[in-house]
This record gives sequence, structure tokens and C-alpha cells, in this order.
Amino acid sequence: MTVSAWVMLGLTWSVIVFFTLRFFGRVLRSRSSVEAPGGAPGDEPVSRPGAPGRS
Amino acid sequence: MPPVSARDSWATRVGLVLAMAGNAVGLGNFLRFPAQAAQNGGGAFLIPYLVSFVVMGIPLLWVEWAIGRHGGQFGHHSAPGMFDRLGRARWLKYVGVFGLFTNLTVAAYYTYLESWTLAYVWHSATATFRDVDPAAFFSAYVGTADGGLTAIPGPALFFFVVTLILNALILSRGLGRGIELAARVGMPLLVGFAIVLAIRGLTVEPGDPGVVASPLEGLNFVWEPRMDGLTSPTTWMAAAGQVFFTLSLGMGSIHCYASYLDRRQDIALNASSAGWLNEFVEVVLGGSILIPIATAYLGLAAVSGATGGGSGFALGFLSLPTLFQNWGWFAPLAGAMWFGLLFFAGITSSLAMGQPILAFLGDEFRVSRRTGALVFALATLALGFVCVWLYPGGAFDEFDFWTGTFSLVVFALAEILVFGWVFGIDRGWEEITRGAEIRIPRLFRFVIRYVTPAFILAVFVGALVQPAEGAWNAAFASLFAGEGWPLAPESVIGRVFHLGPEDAAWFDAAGRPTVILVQDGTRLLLVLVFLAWAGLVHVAWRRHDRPSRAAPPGRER
Repeated sequence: MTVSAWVMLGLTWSVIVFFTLRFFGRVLRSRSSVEAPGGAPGDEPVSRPGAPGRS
Repeated sequence: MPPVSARDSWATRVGLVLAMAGNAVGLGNFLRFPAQAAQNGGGAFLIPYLVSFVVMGIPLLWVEWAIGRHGGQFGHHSAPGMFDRLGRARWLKYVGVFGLFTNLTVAAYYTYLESWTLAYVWHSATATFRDVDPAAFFSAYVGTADGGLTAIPGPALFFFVVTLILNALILSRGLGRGIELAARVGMPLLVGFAIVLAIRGLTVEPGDPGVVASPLEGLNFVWEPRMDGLTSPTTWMAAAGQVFFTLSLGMGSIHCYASYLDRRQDIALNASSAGWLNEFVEVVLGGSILIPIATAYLGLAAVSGATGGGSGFALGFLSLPTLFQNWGWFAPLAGAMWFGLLFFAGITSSLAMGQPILAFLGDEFRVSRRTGALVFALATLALGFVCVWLYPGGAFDEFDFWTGTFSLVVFALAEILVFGWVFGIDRGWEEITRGAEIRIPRLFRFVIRYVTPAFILAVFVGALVQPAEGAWNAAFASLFAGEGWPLAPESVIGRVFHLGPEDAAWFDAAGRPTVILVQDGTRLLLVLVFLAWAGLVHVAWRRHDRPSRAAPPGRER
């Protein structure tokens, strides 16, 4: 591989891995901070139990 | 049994993000991206690609999540109802018809493609490709071996039906116990398979059985920047198009998944998380498997030729099954892992196509989830049968272009304009940022209102008038010289008017049907399907007889 190819690969992978870990890591951390009743320990429920009726 | 949406909900936040990421991650992450990058400037392709991701991909993700969550507060989990709630004009709900039409028609051919991966898992695991040439196998499998326009290949139909049954069964279990469970199992397996294959592929060396070049030559082909590509509109169009399609934008499925959120639930972080997860799978994993392995065993010249059209399909289905045979005892497992990861990528996407259909039938016609899943499977089978039967005549490609490409861009352009200009950027911004767990720069107000629509418009116009061989500079020179615009046969206009073939007749001199008849017949079918959806929406709104368009409790419109 040429140096320029390694540089492009390294830069792009760094950016993508950084933001993936930053954002998905926060989602994972928020998961472990809440206990959901009746769910697996640590799972955070995200939805309302049911859609509201039509207006 | 209650209608679909009355009980459905996401069980966990991670499950939601994985389902959204699974919706975005598809076969294109592994087959299309590496070929597009290699053929459009290599490492330089990633510059317009990431620019497009930031100014078009991420803003559109936020907009689609916001439209979905907003519609969900009114009990709407499919696009027509959501768009109806974005303004007072009655025509808005018909914009949402795209969100039903696209999902069903893309599902028709996409689940057929997905069924190929399932069949290839079986044939890889049972070592079929040790003795059979994959190219000959493929032609027999889809029925193109005898050169006719039609075929009813039994094994292909069998795996297609099995795939549809799997989809329907998962959909009938609902969001938490069906779609979310599939994503929570499928996505980690997909990533695990991809990592194993990438490591195995990148560590073969010249001197190993069958190896003719270093796999790093293939990686170099994908990543070496050819900066002259940056000044080419073709590179920018390709990059914007790849970002657009890889995120499953303009489908209506993101809206649907987001509609099951609370009105104060975060959008900004969840959407960003799902979007960047897709980029990880596409760029880091997708770019490290297909082309490096193929280059190691076929050489760079052959790989460059095979990816010339910007697709890695031929390498993925016709070459890799043979190349894996060089890996000894690991060959059946490698084949099963490769097609297995493609299958997981496919099914997490096709489930996202089914849910909006179920939601629409449930919301508007009080159809139960199980019945909705059955209706979706049967409708997909009926339309998909056209793709199977007329695959040799080109019906599959027509579905792919008009529903899987053109329709998405039209819907995305319409939705970003409706969101920024009809719903209004002030309300839109409030919708996106409410409950946000990350701060979104205010610059994105401007981006959503002006830059993203301009980007999508450029992609749309570019596809409409794409010049021959993608030579934009030469096309403008020709135009200014008064010699007209050299339209490419594969441009939208070129396709509509069948540019390219000298004789675009429905029947040949001997009175036999031609490919043109198949193409036009397929287009007519797609138009009828769109009109049928529009008719259903019309009927649904007449049945509602809604007395008011009031906001739900605690919310001002």
C-alpha cells in the first residue's frame, strides 16, 4: 500500500470509529444506567406503551 | 387481536438503535460501497462521501426521525398520516404514499435478492461450490441460462418463499419481540462474521494456494487517493448517491420506526448513533473484505474490470464462492459467513420495509398484526413473482431503478421541502432538538432548509440528465457548442425513452416479445401499484371522518 493510501485509510477510519464509539457508546451507557421493569437488567424502555388514539 | 400499532413499542434503546442501523446496513454496504470507492477516486472518494454524509445524510436522518416521532404522537405510524400532520393542505398525505409504495415495491425485489443469500448460505455450507462453477450455478439458479425472457426457477422460488415466511413470522411478533430481537441477534453476528472474514482475507500472502497478489494491493485500490476525481461531478454524484442509499433514506421506514418513540425521547443522539454505526459497517468492514480477497486471488486487473460498473455484485456472488475454496476446511464456513452476513444485512432491511405496511393497515383499517404480516408477505410474493418470472427479461432491474433509486430521491426531496418550508424550520428545529442528548449546531437549521435540499436536487437532476459515460465536462462543452446534451442511456430520461437500443419495439420482426415490452410492462405495473396505494389512502381518509385536526393532549400544533 502506498503512504497516501494508508493516510486516507487511517484518517477515515479514525473519524468513523471515533464518532461511532462516541455516539453508540453514549447509547450503551444510558442503557446500563436504567433498570426496566420486567425487562432484562439494564435495558432502558424507549417507547410509550401504546400509541394514543386517533384524534 | 388489536391492530398493529396499538400495542407495539421498542423494548430497549439499544434495540431501537440496532434496528435502525440494521435498516440502513444492507447488501450495498459490502457489495456497492467498495466498488464505488475504488472506481471513483479511491481514497479521494471518501472526501465527498463524508461531506455528503454530514450535509445530507445526517440532516435527513434527523428530519425523518422527527417526522416519524411527530406523526406517532397523533397515532400515525406510516408516512401518509405523518405527512398529513405536517400542514393543513390535503395533498400532503399523498406525498406520504411514496412511503408505502417504495417499501412494498423495494421489498418485492429486495427479498428476492435476500433469498439468494439464504440459498448461497445453504450451498456454501454444503460445499456445492467445490464442484460447481458459481457463474454457471447463478445463471441456472435465476433462469438466465437459456436466453429467454421468462423463467420459473423452482429452487429460487422455494428460497424466496422461505425468506418471505421468515420475514412475515418476525413481523407478526411485533417490534420488541420480532424486529428488535432480529436486530439484536443479527447485527452482532453480521459484524462478527465481517471481522473474521476481513482478518482472514487480509492475512493471506503470495505463496499461499491460489494467491496471485497481496490483498493489500486490493486495499490500496480502494484507498489510494486519486485527487483528480475530486473535481469531477461524477465523483460527487456517486458519493452523494452512495450516502443516500446506504442510509435507507427516502423510504418511509425510518419514519415508521421513529413513530414509536415518546415525544420527549431523544432523536439527535439515536439517529447519529445509527448513522455512524452504518458508516462503520460500510467503510471499515465493507471496504476490507470483497476487493482485498478478490484481488489476492484474481489480480488487480480482473477486479478493476469486474467493478467497472460501480457494483461488486459479480465479485460477491460469482467469484468469492470459488475463491473461498482455497481456504481448505474453512471454505464452507467462510462461504456461509459471507452470505450469512449478507443475509442478516438484507433481512434487517426488509423487516423495516414491512413494518410501515403493517402499521398503515393497522392504523387506518384496524388490521391485526398477524393479518398485516400475511398481507405484506402475499403482496410481496405477488410483486416479487414478477421479478422472478421476468428476471431474464429485466423486470428485476426495472424494480431496482424506479423504486429502489428514483422513487427514494423523489420522496426525500419532497420530504425535506415539506419539513423545512411547509411544516416550517422553527417547528421543525424544535421537533428535532426536543429531548436531544447531544447539542446540534444551529448551523444545521440553515443546512436543513437550503443545503440538504440543494444536495438532493443536484442528485435528482444529475440522475435525470446524466451524460454519456458520466463525462460532464464534455457534455457541457457539447451543449455550449450547440451540439446538444449527450444523454446516457442509463439516465432517467434515457431510460424513459429507451435510448440506446436501435429498435425500441415491443415485438421483434418475428412477433416475439422483446425486453422493451418487459420494461414498459413493469413500469406500468409500478404506476398501477402507486395508484392503488394512493386510492387506499384516499379511502382511509374518507373512512376516518375526522371531526377535527386537533393536537394530542399537552401539545400545540
